[in-house]
Amino acid sequence: MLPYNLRLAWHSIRRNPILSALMVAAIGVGIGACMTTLTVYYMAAKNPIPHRSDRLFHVQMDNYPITPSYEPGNEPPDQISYTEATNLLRANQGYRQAAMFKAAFPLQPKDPDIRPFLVLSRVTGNDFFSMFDVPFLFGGPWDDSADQSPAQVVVLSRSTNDQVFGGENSVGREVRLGDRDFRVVGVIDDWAPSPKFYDLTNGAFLDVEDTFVPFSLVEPLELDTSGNTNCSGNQQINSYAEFLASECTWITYWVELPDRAAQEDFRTFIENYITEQKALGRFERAPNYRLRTVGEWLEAEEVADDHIKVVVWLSFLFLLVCLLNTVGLILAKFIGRAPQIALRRALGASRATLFWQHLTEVLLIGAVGGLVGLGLAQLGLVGIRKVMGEDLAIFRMDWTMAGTAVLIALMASAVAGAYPAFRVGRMAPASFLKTQ
Amino acid sequence: MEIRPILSALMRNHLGAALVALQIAVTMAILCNGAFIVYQRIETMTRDTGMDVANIFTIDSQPIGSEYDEESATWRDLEVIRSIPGVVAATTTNSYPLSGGGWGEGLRPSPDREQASITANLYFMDEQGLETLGVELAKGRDFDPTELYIRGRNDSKLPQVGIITQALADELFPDDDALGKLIYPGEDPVEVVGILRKMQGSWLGWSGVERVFLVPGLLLDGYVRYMIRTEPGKRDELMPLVEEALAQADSQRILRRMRTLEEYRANSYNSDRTMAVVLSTVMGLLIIVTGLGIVGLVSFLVNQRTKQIGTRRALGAQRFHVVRYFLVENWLITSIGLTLGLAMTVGLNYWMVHSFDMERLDWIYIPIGLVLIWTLGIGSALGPARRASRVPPAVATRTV
Amino acid sequence: MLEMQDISKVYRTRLIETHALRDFSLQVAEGEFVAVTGPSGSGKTTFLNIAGLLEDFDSGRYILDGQDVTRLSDKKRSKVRNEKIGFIFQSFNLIPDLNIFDNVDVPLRYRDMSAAERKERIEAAVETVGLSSRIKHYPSELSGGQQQRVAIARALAGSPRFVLADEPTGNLDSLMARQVLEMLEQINDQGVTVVMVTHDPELARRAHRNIHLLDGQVSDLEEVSQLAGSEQEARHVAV
Repeated sequence: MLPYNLRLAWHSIRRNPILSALMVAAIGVGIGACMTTLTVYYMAAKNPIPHRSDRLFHVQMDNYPITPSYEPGNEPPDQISYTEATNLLRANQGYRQAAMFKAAFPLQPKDPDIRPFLVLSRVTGNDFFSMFDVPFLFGGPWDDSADQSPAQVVVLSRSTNDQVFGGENSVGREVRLGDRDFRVVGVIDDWAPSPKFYDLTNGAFLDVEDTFVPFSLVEPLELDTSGNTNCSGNQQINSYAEFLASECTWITYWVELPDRAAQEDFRTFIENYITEQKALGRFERAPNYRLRTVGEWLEAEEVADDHIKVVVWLSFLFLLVCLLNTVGLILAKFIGRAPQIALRRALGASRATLFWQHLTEVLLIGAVGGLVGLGLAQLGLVGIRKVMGEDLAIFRMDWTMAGTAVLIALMASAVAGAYPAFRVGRMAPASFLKTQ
Repeated sequence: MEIRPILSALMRNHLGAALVALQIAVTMAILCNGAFIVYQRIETMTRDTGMDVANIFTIDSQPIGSEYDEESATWRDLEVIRSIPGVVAATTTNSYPLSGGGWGEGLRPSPDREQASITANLYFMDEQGLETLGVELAKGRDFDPTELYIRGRNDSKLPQVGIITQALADELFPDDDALGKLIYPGEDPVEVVGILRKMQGSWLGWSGVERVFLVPGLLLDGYVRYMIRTEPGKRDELMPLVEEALAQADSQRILRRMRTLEEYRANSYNSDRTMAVVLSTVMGLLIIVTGLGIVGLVSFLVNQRTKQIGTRRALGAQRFHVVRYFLVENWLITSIGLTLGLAMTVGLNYWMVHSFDMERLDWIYIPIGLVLIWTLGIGSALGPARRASRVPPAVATRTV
Repeated sequence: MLEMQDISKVYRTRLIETHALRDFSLQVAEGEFVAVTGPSGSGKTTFLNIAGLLEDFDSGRYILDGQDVTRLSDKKRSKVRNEKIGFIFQSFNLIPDLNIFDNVDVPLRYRDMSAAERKERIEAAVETVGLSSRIKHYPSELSGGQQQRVAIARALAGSPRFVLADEPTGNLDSLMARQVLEMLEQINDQGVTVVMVTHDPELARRAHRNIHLLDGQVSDLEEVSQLAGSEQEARHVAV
C-alpha cells in the first residue's frame, strides 16, 4: 500500500503546487527557526565529556574571611587559593587530580622571520591530559617528575605546532616562552570541548589554550594568572610569595573519583582538611565546599543562560503557529477534495485506507519541510555567527541535531495531519456524490 | 453591517476559523513578548556610556623578556602616541571599560570594617585619563601629574586621591556630597577629588556598571595597556599609524589586541544583540506566516463559496459588499483570536517572569500588538476578498 | 416591462467564437408570464444572464421597466438586480451556512432598510411559501421542494417587478414541481412579470406565451417541430 500511497501523495502535491509549497514553507520556516535556536541551546547545554562526566569533580572551598556581606551557605568561590591547590595536590587523595590556571607568554620562534606572538598557556599537572581524555598527535604528557620538581617542558596545541614547526613532529625541540627555553614533550591533536568545561570561570566558549606547562613552575618562574583572581577582604600583598600565601582564589581544581566509595572518601578528606585549616586559623567561615560533576558544574554556572531558553521557547511557539497554519491549509485541501474522497469511499476504500493515504501525503510534506528547515537552520546559524562576529563551535549543527530536526518535522506534521486525515475518513460518501 | 449572519455562518464552519484564531492568539503572545524583549535589549545596548566611545581605541603591549623596563617604556610609548597628529589624548590603564575584564574593588564610606562594602570598577589611569575617556567632570577637579602613583609588582597600595562617578557617590554617601570625602578601599583612605556625571565600567551585564572609581597611577604588572582618543572620525585612519609608531619605537614586545572601544562594547553585548536579532527575525517570519495563513484561509473560503458569492451578486450585492463581507468575517476571526491572545500574552509573560530572568511586560505593547495584528488581518484578507468580488454574478446560473 | 432589441452576444476563446445570441429581440409586457424554451446550446442561459443583468452583451439595447440598462456600471446593475428582479435558480442557490430567515434576508441586506422592516418582509415572504414553522432551519434540513420555496420567498421578499426563473423545477419531482409552478402563477396573478427559462415543454405550456430559442434566435414553434422532425429523419438515414 505504501508505494501506492506515496504515488497518490506525490500526485496530490503536484496538483496543488502553490498550496503544497505553502505547507512545505510553513513547516520549513518553523523547523528552521526552532533548530537554529535549539542548536545554540544544545551546544551550550551539552556535556562535552559525557562518558567521564560523572567521575570528574570540580572542587570549591570557601576560604574567605567573614565580611559584612557574608551569608552562611553561600556559593563558595569558583576557584581555590594556591595554598589549597598545593595542599590538595600533595595529599593526592583522588584517582587523578589537576590544579590549573591560565597564563600568557610571548612566544619567540627560532625562525627570525616569524614575529614573536602571544600564546595562552594552561599551567597544570600531567593528570590534566589523562583525566580529560586529551588526544595526542606526537609525544605525550610530561613525566610525573616534571610535576614533582620544576622542569621547563611544554605540550603544544596542534595549531601552535603548525605555526612554529610547520606541523612536524617537534618532540624534543625547544620553544622560547618569555625569556626561557622549553622542551616540547608532546603535541595534542585537535581538541575543542565546547563548552570549555574545565575553565568556565574564564569563558565557557573560548578556545583551548595554545600551550600547556607544568604547575610546578609557578613558584620558580613567578607565573601570573591571566584569568580571574578574587581576593575577599583586605589583604596586604607586597610580594609574589605573599600573593601565593594569600586567601586570593585563582586556581581551578579538578579531581577524578571513579566510584562512590572514592567520592565518599574524598568528601571526608575535604571535611577533615577544612577542620585542620580552621585549627590553623584559616577558614573563618562555616565549612562550605562543593564537589560537582561536569554536568552539575555546567548547570551551576548557567552556561545555557535564560536568554537562550526564552528564545528557544518563543521559537517553538513560532513552530506552533506554523503548524496551525499547516493544519488549516491541509484541511482546506482535503475538504476541497471531498468529492474525490467520496468516490473512493463509494468504490470501497475503508476509512483506515483513506486515513493512511492522506497521512502519507502529510508526512511526505513534513519530511520535505523538515529538509527545507534543516537548510534554513544552517542559514540561521550562519546568520548567528555573523551577528556574534565569532566563529564558534557552539553555532554548528551536528548529526544529532540534524536528525532531531527531521524527526521534529515528521512528528509535527503527523500531529498536524492526523486530524484532517481522520476527518477525511468521516466524510459521508453519499453527500458529495450528488450533483450540487 | 451584517455581523450577526456572518458570525452565525462562521460558527457553522468553525474549524478553519478556529485554527486561524488560535494562530492569531499565539502570534499576538509571541509578538508582544518578543517586541518587549527586543526593545529592552536595544535600550540596554544603546545606554549612554558617558564616554566618547566612537573615537577611542586601545592597544596592548606585552614585553618580551624579564629585563624590560616597563615604566619608562610606558612613558616613552605615551609620548610617541600623543605626538601623532589627530590624537586628542592617550592614557595607560589597567583594564578597559566595556570590555568585560576589570578590577572590582570594595569601598566603604568609613574605616569601619563591620560596614558592608560597595564594589566599584577600579581603574588606574594617568593625568590624561579623563580627557581620553571623554567623560564629563560634574564636580571637583582632574588629576594632577604629581599625583601619579607607580604601583610595582609587589605593592598593594592605592593613590591618595580618586575620582568617582555620581552613581558610586550616591551609593557611598546617599545623603551627602561625596566631594572631598574620604573613602576606604582598605585601611588607607582615598580622598574624592572629583565626581563624574556618568561612566560605564567593565562589566556591562552588572547592575553596578556605573559605579566607577578612577585613581591616578600606573600599574606595573608585566602587561601594558593604552587607550587613545582621536579627533572625531579619525580613529580608523590613526589606528595603523599608532601601531606602526609603537612597533618602531620598540621591538622587544608584542603589540596586540588593537581594538576600538566600540568593538569591546559590541562583544560585551553579543548575547543581547544575538537575542534581539534572532527574535526580530522570528517575529518577522511570524508576521509573514500568519499573514499567509490568513490569505490561505480567506482564499479557501472564497473558493469554497464561489457559487454563494455569485448568488449574492445576482441578488444585488455590489462588489464592495462582497469585499466587506470577507473583511468583516476576517475581522471577527482576528478579534476572537486577539481576545484569546490577550490572555495568552499575559500568561506567557507571567510564565517567563517566573521561570526565567525576565521582566514584566509593559502594557503599551498590548494595544500596539492589537492594532498591528488587526492591520495584518485586514491587509492579508484584502487580496482574496477583492478576488471574491470579481466572481461574476453569472456563476449563479451555472448548474455545476 | 422588458424590451430587448437586436442583442448579440459572442463568446470567444482562443480557438472558437460562439454566437450565443444573434440579433435577439424580445418584448415582454407588464404582468405577462413568459416561458423561454429551447434545446441545450440554444442560448437560453445567455438570455437568462442578460435578462437578469448578470452578464454584458456585445451589441443591442435592453430596456427594463422603462430604464435603459444597456450600459450600466456594475454598481448600478447590482442595484437594479436587487430592487427590480427576483431570481429563482434551478439549484436553489441557498447559502448552506445560513438559516431560512437569513437566506431570505440576503437581498434585503443590500438595501437601506431598517431591521424591523426586513424582519417584517422576511416573515411575510416565508409565510407566503408556507414555511413559517421552519424559519430557523438550515437548507440541509429541508427537502428540495422546500428549498425552492425558500428561494421563491427570497425572490419575493424584495417585492420585485419582475421574476426571472431558471429551470425552477429542474431538480424537483413532479409533485413538488407542480407546487412551485402554482406559486409562480400566484405571483404572476399579483401583477408581477414572470419570465421562466425551461426546457420542459409541458411547463412552458402553462405560460401565457412561449418563446422558443434556436441558435441564439427566436424561432417559430412550427419551424421548430419541422426542424426537429427532419433531424430525426436524418438520424434514421444515418443509422
